Amino acid sequence: MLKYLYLAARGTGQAFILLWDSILSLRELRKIKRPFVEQLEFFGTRSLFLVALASSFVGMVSSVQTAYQIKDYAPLDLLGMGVAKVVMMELGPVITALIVAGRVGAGMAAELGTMRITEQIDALETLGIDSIRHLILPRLLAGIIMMPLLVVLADFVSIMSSAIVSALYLDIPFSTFFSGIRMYFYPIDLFGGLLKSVAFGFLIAFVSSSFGYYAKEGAKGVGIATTQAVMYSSLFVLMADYILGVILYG
Amino acid sequence: MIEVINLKKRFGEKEVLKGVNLTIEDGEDIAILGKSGEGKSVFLKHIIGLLKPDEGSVLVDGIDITKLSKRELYQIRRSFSYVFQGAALFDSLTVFENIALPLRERAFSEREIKDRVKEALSLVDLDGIEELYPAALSGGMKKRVGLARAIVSKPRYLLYDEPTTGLDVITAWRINKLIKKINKMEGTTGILVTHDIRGALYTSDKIALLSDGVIVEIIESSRYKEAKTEKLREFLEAGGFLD
Ligand SMILES: Nc1ncnc2c1ncn2[C@@H]1O[C@H](COP(=O)(O)OP(=O)(O)OP(=O)(O)O)[C@@H](O)[C@H]1O
Ligand SMILES: [Mg+2]
Repeated sequence: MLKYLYLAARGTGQAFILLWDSILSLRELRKIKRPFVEQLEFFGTRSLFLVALASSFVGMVSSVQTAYQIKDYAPLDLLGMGVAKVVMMELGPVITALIVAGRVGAGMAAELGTMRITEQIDALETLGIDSIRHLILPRLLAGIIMMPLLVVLADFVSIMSSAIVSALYLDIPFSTFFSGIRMYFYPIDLFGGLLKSVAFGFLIAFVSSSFGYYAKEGAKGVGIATTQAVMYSSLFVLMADYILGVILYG
Repeated sequence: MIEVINLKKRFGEKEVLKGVNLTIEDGEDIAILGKSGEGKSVFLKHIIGLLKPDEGSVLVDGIDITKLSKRELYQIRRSFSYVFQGAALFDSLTVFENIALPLRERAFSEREIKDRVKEALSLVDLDGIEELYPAALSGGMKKRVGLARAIVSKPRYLLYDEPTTGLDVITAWRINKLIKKINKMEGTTGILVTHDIRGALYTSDKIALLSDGVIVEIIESSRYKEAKTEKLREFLEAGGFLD
């Protein structure tokens, strides 16, 4: 038990050193143009299709679920508004983040872990190249930038698929669905969700690259790092979601 | 000049280096022999600051590199190259980009980078593989590309971690010849870690034996027959150099 506490404390300490060094290396931003572009691409393309697919189902089930919940005491004209709000504030950012944690987070941890055990990280260091600047910073920046873009896509797909299901099965015409959204739309619904997604993108990139960067010897070490990266990224996303939910909407 | 003074390092309960002392003059080439797991790689990593000692110091031209900040250390590393035991090529880069990286970091022109990479590849007998990725190379080719990456920046200090281990005899001997050639170049100081006794005697001015966490004996390669300690004699015997 004590050993686990010690390991957890040490891991957290190492992670924050990593973060601090990344922040310091922001000064040398122009040196990482190439890895940064690569990471943007990696982050964006790796989960694009899955996010879109998952979001379409999220939208469809939201229609059915919301209709079931409100049909006895509110007009179905309000359904579009209800779905849009829950998607923008909560479902879009959270579902996207969980998918990204599984795809991109695992990928980051596996890639960096492999670089660690094959001494590629040491090799960078011997060349006088700051491995944190070169490997961690581009991933953190890519996470912060790409996550909101993915969430915009997720929100859009969810709301459109919800509108389609509502029109087909609940007899709510498009015009009613979207005028409901417009009537009660507050910018903070959307921007609060996007703000969350920035935090999620950062958390996933930070947690996953820490586990990879400090992976232990052997192929087994990389496996452990990858599993833990996904597990802790997802956990921290949900925790942050609650905290930010309280701050933004509480 | 590199001076290692009373270097100690432990991992948990395991004491790997127990007070290593060694001085390497400029232009001198030394081979460090030792059995598997004696701490040869750990020792070599201390010389370039990849590992920090628990005690002791490593002086490079009089500067104690164990006390330097990250930035200062990067500066010192400009005059070093390290050949990794497992090559440590960057998977995501082509052979060309792997070898070019040290030069890019030193802001060479594109033209010069092209020329130097070509030259380095031809030195290791691997012309024309610039566009391949490391995954497409055999173990021996990877090691040679690692060597090319090390020599391309023409460093003053070259550290080799078992550059011939696991290679067929022909390739291994070619690499030994190459290391000798590099070592003989003006102003380079080579530290070769190996258990290939023949390669050590052939490439280096001196051989040293690392055993049980300390340097047991250092002797000039040409006078290996005069080795005094039982341990070094055993090593030479095992390699067929003493009877
Ligand atoms: N990062 C580390 N953490 C814990 N133990 C380590 C670490 N690095 C090395 N060791 C241990 O230190 C000892 C020496 O390892 P080292 O790799 O230096 O041996 P070596 O002489 O290079 O052997 P080989 O010829 O097999 O490469 C080994 O017992 C190894 O398990
Ligand atoms: Mg070794």
